[in-house]
Amino acid sequence: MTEPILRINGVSKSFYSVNALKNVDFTLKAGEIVSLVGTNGAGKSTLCNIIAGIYPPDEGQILLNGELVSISSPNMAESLGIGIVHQEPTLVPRLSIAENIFLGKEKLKNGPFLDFEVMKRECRETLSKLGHENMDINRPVSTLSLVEMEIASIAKAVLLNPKILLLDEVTAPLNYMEVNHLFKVIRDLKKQQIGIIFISHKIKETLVISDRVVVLRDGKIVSDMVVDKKMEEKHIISPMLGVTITDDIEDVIKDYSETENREVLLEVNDLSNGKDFHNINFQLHRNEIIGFAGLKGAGITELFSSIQGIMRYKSGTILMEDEQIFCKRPSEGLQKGIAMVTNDRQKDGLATFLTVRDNIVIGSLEKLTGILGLVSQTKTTSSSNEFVYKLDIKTPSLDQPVQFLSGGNQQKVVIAKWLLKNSQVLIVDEPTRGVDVKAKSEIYKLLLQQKDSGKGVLVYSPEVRELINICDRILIVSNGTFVEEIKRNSPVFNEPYILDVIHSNVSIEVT
Amino acid sequence: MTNETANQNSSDILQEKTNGFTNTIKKLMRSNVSILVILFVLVVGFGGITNPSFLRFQNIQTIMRACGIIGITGLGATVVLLVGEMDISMGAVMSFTTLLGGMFIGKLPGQATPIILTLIFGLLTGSFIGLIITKLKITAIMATLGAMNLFSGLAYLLTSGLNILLYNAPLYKKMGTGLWFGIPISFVIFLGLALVLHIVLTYTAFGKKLYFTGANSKAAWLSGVNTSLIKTASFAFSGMCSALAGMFLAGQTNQLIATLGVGYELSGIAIAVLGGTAIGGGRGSVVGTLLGALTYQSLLNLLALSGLGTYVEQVLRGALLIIIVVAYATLNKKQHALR
Amino acid sequence: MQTEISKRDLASTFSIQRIGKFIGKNYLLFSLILLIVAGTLVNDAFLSTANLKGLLFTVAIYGLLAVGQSLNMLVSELNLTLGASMAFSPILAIWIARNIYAASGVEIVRSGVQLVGGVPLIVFLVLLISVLVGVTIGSIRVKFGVSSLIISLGMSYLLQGSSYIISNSNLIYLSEIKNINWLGTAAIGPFPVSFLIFLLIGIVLILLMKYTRFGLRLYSTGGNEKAAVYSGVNTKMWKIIALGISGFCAGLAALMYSSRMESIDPIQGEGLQFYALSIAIIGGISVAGGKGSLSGTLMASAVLVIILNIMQIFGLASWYQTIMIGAIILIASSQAIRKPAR
Repeated sequence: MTEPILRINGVSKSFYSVNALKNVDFTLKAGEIVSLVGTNGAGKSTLCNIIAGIYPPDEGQILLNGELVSISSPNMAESLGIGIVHQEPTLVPRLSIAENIFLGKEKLKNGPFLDFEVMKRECRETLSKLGHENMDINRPVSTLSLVEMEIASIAKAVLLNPKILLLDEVTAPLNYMEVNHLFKVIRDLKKQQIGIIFISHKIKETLVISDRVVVLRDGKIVSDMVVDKKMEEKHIISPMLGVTITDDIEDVIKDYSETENREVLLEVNDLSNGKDFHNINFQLHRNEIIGFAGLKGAGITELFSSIQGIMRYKSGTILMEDEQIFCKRPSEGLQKGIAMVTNDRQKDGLATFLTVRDNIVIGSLEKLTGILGLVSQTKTTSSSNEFVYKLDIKTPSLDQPVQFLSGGNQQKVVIAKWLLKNSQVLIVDEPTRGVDVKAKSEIYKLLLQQKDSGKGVLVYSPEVRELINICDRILIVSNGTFVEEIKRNSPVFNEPYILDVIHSNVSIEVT
Repeated sequence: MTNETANQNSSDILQEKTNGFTNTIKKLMRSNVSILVILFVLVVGFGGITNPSFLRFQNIQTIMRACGIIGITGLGATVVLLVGEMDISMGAVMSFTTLLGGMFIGKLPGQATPIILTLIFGLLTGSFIGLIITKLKITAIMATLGAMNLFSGLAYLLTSGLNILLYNAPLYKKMGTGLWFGIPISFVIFLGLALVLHIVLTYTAFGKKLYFTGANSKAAWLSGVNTSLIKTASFAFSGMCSALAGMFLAGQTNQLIATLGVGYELSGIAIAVLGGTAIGGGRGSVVGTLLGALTYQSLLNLLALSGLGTYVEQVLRGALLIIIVVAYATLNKKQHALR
Repeated sequence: MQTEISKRDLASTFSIQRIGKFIGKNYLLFSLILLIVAGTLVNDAFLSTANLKGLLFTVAIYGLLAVGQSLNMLVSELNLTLGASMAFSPILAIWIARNIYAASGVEIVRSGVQLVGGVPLIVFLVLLISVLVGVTIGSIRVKFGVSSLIISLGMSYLLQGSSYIISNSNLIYLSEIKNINWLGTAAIGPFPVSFLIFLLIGIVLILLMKYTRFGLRLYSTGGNEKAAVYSGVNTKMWKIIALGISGFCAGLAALMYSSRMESIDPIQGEGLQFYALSIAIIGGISVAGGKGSLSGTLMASAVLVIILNIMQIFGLASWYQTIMIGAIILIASSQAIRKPAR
């Protein structure tokens, strides 16, 4: 075939001594859709931003159609035929689609005056290229639906007929039907011979839409595969995490017994929030870990948040130790004995200027007091040290501000905070996200300890393997509701079966 | 979880106190306090050299007297800034609460009654502001700007725009001009309040929650902290400080006028920022504010001694606020870049 | 049967809900009409030429400041020096002009308080200084990342103190200058020239915002700064421009005011930045930035001035105005009250 429209050789980039990209080689052909995947911090956005001209690489070359280029600014990237749709909303809410699309490149007439006719016309032309010529281009963008906003963002990127299009997490806020819709648009663009780089953390999607999948891990490309019918999620997830699926993470549960005669700790009846989940019914017993399996966007995080009190739900009841509870805020859930480890731990879990000690004890201050009701330094020290040791948190001292810890250690600090709280019910959303392999088994051990000491644990993980390791039973969630329950002693309590159930309930067209 | 503290004998307590002490020192050195101490020494040194009357005891008393008033507002400003907000209404609240309380002088039994009432009014107005910010979801900027106008107007209403001379209020006079072993009472109270605040902020659960709320209010909320309560309490404290400072000022100037507190919100914020309190919240200390108050007031005193009038002081206060805030913004940028 | 249906149709067309919605959408217009009616009830001479001239002059002053403040708010900034600048610009301008003229032996200020010449230079300087004040605030904000609220707060005290120092706390009288009160008092029928100038500036700005890139730049800077930057908009420059224009408005207001009063008082303009803020809020400009329209501000200027006027007729002292301004800022900022912002 011909020279790829984009070729990247040996590109590296660092920010303040953190290596974001190391010696990356990458190619893109015209009319090809390549998905770029990797965990948070793997380098996907960095690579995209370099191609989009937001900052230059420290080392390496970029070639467009075989010619060496230096992309010094977003404007330059645009003139070179590179369009990008960013992760964060790049639309101004009060302005209309037409105004947003032409922002920064308005068409003028008679000197400084805006040429509305020309802009509206070109706007409609661009939208029809995306199959949406009937969208109302005069309404403020804030009144559009999510899909329409994504389409408007894409229209903005496609306006100048780019040859290369970067789509950074454009499907993140969308549900399955909306994603299908968007994929039609993307496929149309592919037909126009535009090379597309597609970033998404929804692995299933990437299998559906891409010609190739490129996996980044710790700033390096670890896998570059052509997608074929036999490819499965695990072929992508495995290099993403650096663990081959065949590795046995130490089988942690030695014996298992049925949940008969076990006290019901948490009971959820017919819970629904009208949007993300509905008809949720289950009981959590003491000495039990229940795993929730499903894709991100299936509504599990919202379900968890509603039980804890972070979010509100519309209908249904929740009973904690036989008492009906209505938690309207996290502190109420905590009071009733329900704690949740959220999945965005760095943003929502940490006060970065404060110390390791401060961050670990913030949830448990009441029980760490000493003389005169003042917080006891001895107690906070011993409690913090306990978890620094157990989770192997690498920090020079307890009084180190957490902003100076690495991402993985920051995660551990947040987990430590909740483990210290020692609530009756512990809800964990993605327990080992961003954490190294050794710490993973530590975290599993600690969750099992919680279970053994009479607590109840609800866990969600996109990695079914994890759930298989530690859960007594697994509830499979799809499109916001339960699809199946599989107990540990069931013959189908295994990864292939569960993955199959998850994916067969998701309908994404493969046209 | 181990329970080592079952028997806290004296050696444990000593260990704890030493640990606490060294930690405080470490924390201070990491913050800008060391720069502040140098700055203070420079100002005092410069003053002593250039102006013979600067270091005279009477002048030092003058500095302390004013420093106490400004310092108290600085403590209030510090707490609100720590929790991630800002209170521009402090000056207006100062006038309003002092005047409102002053209305009761001679009308109720007990010399201390109007004083206690004023403090209560301070707590109430502060709570009011805190509540509208947390419950009605008005941004703090608009809330305190609106409150500034509201209470300023109310202060004028109370006095009908007139100067009211304080009479029959010996306790106020004592507050304003009295001495305790040669030290002006306002300064003594300032130090006492600072000590109490320091203990609360550093050693109580409330204090730790306050810092956390300022550093990341969402994370605090998710961790079970009642952020609305903490913010409202901060504003209530700031209101009380305004009221307290107002009474000292009234006692000193011997009059109740609607423009009593004008400009004090400015000084309060300037002192807090000078002392290392970050405008975004979560960073700052009482010790810093204390040093900031001393440095700031010494500087102003020095300039006043050089014969420049009140208007020059006003200009300098405005300029100092801008300079201090800009300087700290630049310093913090550098810190971030080094990360 | 037929009559019943048509009755139902009539009822739905004039349903209270629809009327309520209509009023809500055009609340400014309705408020204005209501207030004019109230004004005439309270004051027989409300619509007389003399009264209107006075009212419209005040609308010009407050309105100019409000328009300036609105532009600031659109780009998510705030300028609290508008009031202080109204005194500072003319006072500093006269001081500079005085020294320039003195260098060639001409004295333009007799006895230290009576201005006798140099008006064109002074007018130019007033506008220049007031623009520079705004630009300075913007530059500091943009360069150091400190909020314009704090900068302008400190600056307002700085300017006010400076006004007193430079003028020695004295008024400067302009009565000896021929036709000095033209700008402040000339009128075409009931419409003062100052009001017409204000209206002109307002309309020009509205047109610029609608038909050129000016509006898009301001709205995007305030509405979603990141998106604007990604689109190549120089948001830093536009913030400085907005603050500069608001400074210009303050300078122009200063000229109008001093012309009418035939004097320059170091205390003039005090507190007016908050009036400007209230008007902008009433007019639907969002404090968060990027929302609201200048036409709302124009109408809201008239609304507030009439309210203040009615208060004066009832003999309410000036501090009631301050209380009301505070209440307006508090109530109108509450997100519990939805404002139909365009």
